[in-house]
Amino acid sequence: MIRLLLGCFLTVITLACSSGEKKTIDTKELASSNIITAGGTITEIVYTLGFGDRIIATDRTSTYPVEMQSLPSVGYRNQIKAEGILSLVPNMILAEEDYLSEDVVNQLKLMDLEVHFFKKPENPEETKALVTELATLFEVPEIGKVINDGIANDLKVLDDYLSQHAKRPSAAFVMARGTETLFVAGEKTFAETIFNLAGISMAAQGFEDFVPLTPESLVTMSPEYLVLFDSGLESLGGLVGLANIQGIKESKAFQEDQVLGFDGHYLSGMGPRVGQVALELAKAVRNK
Amino acid sequence: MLTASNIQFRTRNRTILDSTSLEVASGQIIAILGPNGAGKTTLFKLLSGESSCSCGVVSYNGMNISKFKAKELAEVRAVMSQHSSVNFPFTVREVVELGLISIQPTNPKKIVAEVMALAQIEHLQDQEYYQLSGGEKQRVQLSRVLAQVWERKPYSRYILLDEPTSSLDIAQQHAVLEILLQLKSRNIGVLVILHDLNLAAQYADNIILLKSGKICYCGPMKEGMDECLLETVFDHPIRLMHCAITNQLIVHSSNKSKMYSSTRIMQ
Amino acid sequence: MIAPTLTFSKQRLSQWVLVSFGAILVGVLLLSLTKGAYSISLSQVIAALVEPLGYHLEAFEVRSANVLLHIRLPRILLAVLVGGGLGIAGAAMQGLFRNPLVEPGLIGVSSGSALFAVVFLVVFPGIASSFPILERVGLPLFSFLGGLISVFAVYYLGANKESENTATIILAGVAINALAGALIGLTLFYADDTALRSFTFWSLGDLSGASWNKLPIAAGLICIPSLVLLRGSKNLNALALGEKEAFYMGVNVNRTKVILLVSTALIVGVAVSLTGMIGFVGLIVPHLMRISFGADHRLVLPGSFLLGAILLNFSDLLARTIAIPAEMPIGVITSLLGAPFFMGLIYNLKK
Repeated sequence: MIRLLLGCFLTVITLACSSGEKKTIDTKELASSNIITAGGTITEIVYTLGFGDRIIATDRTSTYPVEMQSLPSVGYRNQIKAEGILSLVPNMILAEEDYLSEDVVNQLKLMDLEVHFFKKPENPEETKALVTELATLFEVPEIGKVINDGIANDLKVLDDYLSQHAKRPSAAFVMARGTETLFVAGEKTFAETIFNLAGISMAAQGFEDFVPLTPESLVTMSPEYLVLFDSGLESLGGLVGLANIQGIKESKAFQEDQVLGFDGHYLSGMGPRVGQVALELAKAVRNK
Repeated sequence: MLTASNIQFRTRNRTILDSTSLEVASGQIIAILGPNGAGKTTLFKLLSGESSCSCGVVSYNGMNISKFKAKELAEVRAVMSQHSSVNFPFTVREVVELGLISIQPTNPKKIVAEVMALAQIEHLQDQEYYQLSGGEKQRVQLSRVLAQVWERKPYSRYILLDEPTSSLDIAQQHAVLEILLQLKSRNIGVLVILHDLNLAAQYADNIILLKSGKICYCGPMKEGMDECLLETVFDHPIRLMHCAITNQLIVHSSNKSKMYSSTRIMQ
Repeated sequence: MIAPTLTFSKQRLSQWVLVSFGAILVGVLLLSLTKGAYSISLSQVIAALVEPLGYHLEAFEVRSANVLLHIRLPRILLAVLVGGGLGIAGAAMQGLFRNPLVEPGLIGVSSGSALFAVVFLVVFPGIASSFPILERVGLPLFSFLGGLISVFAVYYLGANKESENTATIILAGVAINALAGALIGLTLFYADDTALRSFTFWSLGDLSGASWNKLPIAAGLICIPSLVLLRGSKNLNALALGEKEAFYMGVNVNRTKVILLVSTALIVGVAVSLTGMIGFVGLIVPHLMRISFGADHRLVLPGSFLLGAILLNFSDLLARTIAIPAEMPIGVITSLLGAPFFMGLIYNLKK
């Protein structure tokens, strides 16, 4: 028995010795900083500011532009671990506030890296503020201004469109992650903000945040349009699968084939394209 | 001296043990006898300290049992229960050594060796307890109990046993009771609940006859073994005979019809 | 005389076993320090470890030293404390309940602790900012309270003095697990606070939150009750024969029971508050000890601490290297190891 234990011990020591390569940080690499971003909106803005090539890894919500998806992924929300980020040897980390878990934040702050946190924008004004903040960080304020002007312009186009179309349809946003997990967005969610921008009234009234979808509630709300993420729609099995959800097929929106799907980040990210998506949404509900 | 004065045990509905007094002196074997439900176990629990009674006093060597800490009590008395289960794979030796945990003996190895030899379980000492037969397990428990009070001390110690012969064969029964005889010379008093009246007749110095919570007799065995008395206590005719070969008492009982039809045989 | 020699060699065996386990633990720790998402070689590990003592070695490299000292080392030490604590607590619980199937997760002590930890984080959210010391001490202690209530509930529901009823103990544990799990889920569902951590954290465990400011309190609140348990090893041996027999042999049964229940609840409560519920360590480790070295608690308890530390470190090693750069929740690994072991145990009991 003792011999067995000693044998294990020696094996373990041998394994320990045969691990890892030495990594040194080149001073040249430092100058062209490696960035890891966490949060789709931040990634998009950094890219739009022209520093996309410096991003070496992102998280799962960073889906735009498409090239970002081929980068290594550090995970999602509090599944992201500090060592995973550090193993890719970044020297700058840009993350949304409250996105990483507190422990990871503390651990990252102990490293000799630049770590910055930004509030996730909840409306176009905050989007512009974030753009400015990031532009200042990268020392390219003029590009930031260009982007913000673009946003303002998009919003103006949206405004013009809405003033010509007085109708104000109602809609409800459904968050779906598989047929067992369905939630309706209430007040104080991104859905409310984007609906307001697009001149859509919220069919879901009287509650905040996301609430589980019950069959009766959807029929009671009776929205004219149902809006989902593309990924959510897919998780239900497309429109065909959607028909099988109790409450959906009885709803007016489904029966009149008024179900809309949008890319998740595009719709909820409140990024530089917020004006564009609002316009798309506004047009989609006024199509008929 | 282990003494009990006016101890009793009552539940809400009935009296299990009526006011009782008795004495166990060191160097004596006292057998408690009686039918089922007589209160033997209750009496046993009161004397061993497992239960306590609100009135009356149990005392060991002059000190009230309630004043003893568990550890101190263990130095004065050891108890062997009728059933003992061991849920972990202890070896026989480890079980016997458990008897010494509250004692600080000068030579634990010697004590363990002696009690194992006495109980004839040395050959089993490295086996796992759960692999033994019922009889072997009982001898191991006896060994453990002996170890607790084995070391010679200036004060009297006591061993209380609850039917220690229940799952033993004839040879083993006598072996166990022989061991108890040997304890008399070590300043140990023995109190044992027995079912077998013959064994009591052969080994006990004094007997206590218990029926329905009352002591019917407490005193020397010879006087206590009286046919009328036994019949009253056990609700069954009993005949006593003398065995000429061993010069000992034989306690005989058979089914009632046979008992009443036979003539009495004089001792 | 054979008898004296045997006792002598048993003591020697115990010493050998503990020393060997200690050596293996050190080996596993070294291995763990070199493995992980971030590549660090053994020479870098040693250089990083001796740097704070004033010895600067060539292999020293700032970044890997930072990762090692601030992320990996605290994590590994936490694994030692939690693994060791769960091991010794499991061993003590099995002795106390006189039942080899008992462990903190199965009988609901872990989930009771987790529930109270979650409740603490909901009810006292502002404490972290205003009184950080209170959060560091308050959370583990409140979690301990939850564990204490659970363990007393199971003990008095399930353990009967006269007959050892395994089924009742396990059923009581099942009931508590169900209730606590539901309440934890409910609380997490309605309280939207990232400080609460996710359901996965609580139900499957996670060592990645380790940091130096959490370790001292963890060390104190786990090591001290562990030492108390070690002192109670003799009494646990006696209890193995039954409470009545233990009393006859001179053990103060009620006091021993309370001390054991409180100590195990404290260890489990603190561990759960830091790392969530990690199951099966407290079941596997004492068993391996008993199968290999006998049932004497004086060896089973310290051996379980060391073996638990080794096992959890090893499991954590797997958890953070299998799916780099992501991490598998550690409870998945311990359950994959533990559940088949548990089934094997049940099968053996039938025989």
